[in-house]
Amino acid sequence: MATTERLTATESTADTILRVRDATVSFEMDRGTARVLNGVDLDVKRREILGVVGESGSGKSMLASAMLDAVEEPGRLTGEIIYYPEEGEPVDVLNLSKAELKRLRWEEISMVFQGALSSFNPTMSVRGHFTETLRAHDADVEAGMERARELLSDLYLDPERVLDSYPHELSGGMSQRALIALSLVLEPNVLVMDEPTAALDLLMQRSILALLSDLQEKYDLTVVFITHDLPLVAGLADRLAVMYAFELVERGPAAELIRDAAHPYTRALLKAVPNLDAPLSTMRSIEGSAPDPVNIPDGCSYASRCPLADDQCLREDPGGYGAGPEHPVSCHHWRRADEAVPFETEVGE
Amino acid sequence: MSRADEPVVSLDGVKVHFEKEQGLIDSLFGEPDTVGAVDGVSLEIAENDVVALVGESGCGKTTLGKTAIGIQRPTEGSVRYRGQDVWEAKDGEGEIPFEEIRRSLQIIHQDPGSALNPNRTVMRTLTAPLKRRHSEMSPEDRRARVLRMLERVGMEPPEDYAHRYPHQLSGGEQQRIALVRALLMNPDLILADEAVSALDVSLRVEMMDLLLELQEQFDTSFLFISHNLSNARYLAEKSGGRVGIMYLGELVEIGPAEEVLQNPKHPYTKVLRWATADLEPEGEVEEPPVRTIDIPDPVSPPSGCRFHTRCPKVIPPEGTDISQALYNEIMDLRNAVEKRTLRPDEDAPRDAEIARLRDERFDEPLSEPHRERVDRALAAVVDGDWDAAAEALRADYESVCERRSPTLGDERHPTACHLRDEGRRAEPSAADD
Ligand SMILES: Nc1ncnc2c1ncn2[C@@H]1O[C@H](COP(=O)(O)OP(=O)(O)OP(=O)(O)O)[C@@H](O)[C@H]1O
Ligand code: SF4
Ligand code: SF4
Ligand SMILES: [Mg+2]
Repeated sequence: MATTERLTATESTADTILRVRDATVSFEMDRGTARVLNGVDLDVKRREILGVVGESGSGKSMLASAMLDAVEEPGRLTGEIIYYPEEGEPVDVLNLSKAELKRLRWEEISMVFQGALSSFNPTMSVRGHFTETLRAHDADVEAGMERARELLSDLYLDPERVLDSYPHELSGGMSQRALIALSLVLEPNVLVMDEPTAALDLLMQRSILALLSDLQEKYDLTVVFITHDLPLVAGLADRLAVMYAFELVERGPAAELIRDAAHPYTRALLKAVPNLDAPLSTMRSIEGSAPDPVNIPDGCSYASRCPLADDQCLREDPGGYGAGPEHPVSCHHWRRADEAVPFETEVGE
Repeated sequence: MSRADEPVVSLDGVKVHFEKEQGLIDSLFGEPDTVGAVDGVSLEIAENDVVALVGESGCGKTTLGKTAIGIQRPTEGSVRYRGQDVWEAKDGEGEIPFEEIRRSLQIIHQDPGSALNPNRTVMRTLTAPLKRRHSEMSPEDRRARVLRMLERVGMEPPEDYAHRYPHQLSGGEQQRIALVRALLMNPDLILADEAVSALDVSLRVEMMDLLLELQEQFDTSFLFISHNLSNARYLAEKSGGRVGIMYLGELVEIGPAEEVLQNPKHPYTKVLRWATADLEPEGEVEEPPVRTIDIPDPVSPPSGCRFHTRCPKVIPPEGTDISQALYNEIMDLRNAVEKRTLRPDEDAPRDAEIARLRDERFDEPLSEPHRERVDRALAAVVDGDWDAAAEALRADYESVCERRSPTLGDERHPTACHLRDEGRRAEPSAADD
């Protein structure tokens, strides 16, 4: 694919496992066309943990669904999604038959959603879910159940007890872990997780993250972890991508993005999170609200909330600047972002 | 003492037990299981006070909160509003009418969307309670008061918001409406149960600032409940309030926010601190500092200190020469034996099976006498005598933490942990972490 965008040129694509280009999801509504995912480009690298962060309504789940061509009707997905298996030909995800897509979804790329309980069938035991999934994909059930038991132990669950249980008999944290084990039972290479822990308390969330990091290593997984909670993934992810108003506005190595966030929105988001040690007076909400997907403004969609916004921002789409070799940012004035939205100094009234 | 000097709410030895739902067979035979959602909590909330309660899901925070505002009847203990027993008032005995108590103690819920009637405009939602409480007010006055309040919480222009329906409001705005509705009752105390965790991060600080501002303006006290220690810190520290930590129905530590956060005394509080990830650029994912990540079944809570099944600092028996790490592994083995979750292979040779079970659980080779003791217990397991195995291990390794319940003192910053009581390891915080 020929690309004129500066940002794609700066990112190495050699070890890409999933390539997303110009992914756009739109819905026809009475008020007009809503663009809930707006031309997103993203390369997921083999065996990395990529954290995708954004506020509610920013389009995170749309991006997750797009990766698996799972956008629900009447949403319309356009663009290009290519999956690169370790061996063999690249797979054009948006042009697969139903059967091919079903195979891809569990055996190559698997998905975990928020709210395990609604993903489970309440009248079927956990064991039933495993055997049914294995059978539906013509897998060896005995070997598959052996793997299931190992995965459950990896997640600090007592395999027999959990397999014998019905979903409602497990606590939220246990059923979410059982769901993660289920999603891995067909040995996928990529795990896409959409707010997999949001309904749980913080201690369980962090514990699951620790387990996830072990699983990733043990099974050589590529993980896309989608969340509204930046501090939660910051320690887990190798790279972070920040979504604002249906677009990715910045991405880069996790440590670099936390230390030297280049987009004014990312910087504001980092300051908005209450934490345990920073002085209280440095914590700040982000004033204003995100644009309506029916009326995405011209130019930069963050302009109405940005302290650096000027005429250029209102006119020109801030596509493709590089704050570092692997650190694309969509902001005309990213060089001045650290002065405009400082981390260190306390915000005076 | 006059009413005004009395604490707004005081809880004394409050217990709330629920009967667990059971299948038909269970309910025909035997006693129903009871869940001690709250088990012996005492707490005073003064005028203009802010208390933030933090704990895991299922630890009883919500139940305690509901008990404090008189919408959940305690099984034992008392709840007083300005000195008046709430449940006596409910039964018609008492100086303060129950109606007044209910009005004075308000709640805002976790999910603002479901707490608002979807078919009512903001104006109708907010004038309804005024109409009930202040029938003397004219409709114009009621509307004027609502508009003033909307302005107060930053919803401007208020006329614009007043005629919207809940689905036309963002989550943060819905939450503010719920807050206004509570404030219109002119309450002494507002229970805010996870009232900010559901909001986007970019809105949380704003919502908490609003709570604090109103707390000051209206002299309202807040009981704030959250599983998120940094939200609790923000609210309690900014208002000079307290943070309380709950574990399995009990209050295990409470004190001024800065002290609890900066100098946590209870091992569980330190675990919650770990769970509250700070943004560290070079952050690494560490193993959770608890021995098991799941909370025990509240139907049969652990004996003694309820945290002993997960505590990384559980105290070895006096005179036993053992490292904390090894003791923790042995305690985990005891747990597995008691729960019968080990899976001995009956067909394997006995000695090999004992060795396999042992090596599965211990990272390092065991020193004597621990290896011998562990092997003896595992032999019993392999022979199918689980009780003997559990008993043998208990005889050798029982901790004071499982025998005795630590109590919460009444200092400024008390904690319920034997490490404090005995001053055993001088300061359990800094040095041995
Ligand atoms: N009405 C009820 N009947 C039976 N059990 C109940 C009832 N209400 C609560 N429980 C049980 O009491 C315990 C404490 O529940 P509570 O809702 O107070 O916890 P919580 O700390 O608020 O949890 P979360 O953070 O998930 O809201 C749990 O084990 C719960 O299942
Ligand atoms: S492009 Fe302009 S408005 Fe947009 S984030 Fe950058 S400075 Fe702000
Ligand atoms: S009493 Fe024992 S088990 Fe309980 S918190 Fe203290 S050290 Fe841990
Ligand atoms: Mg609750």
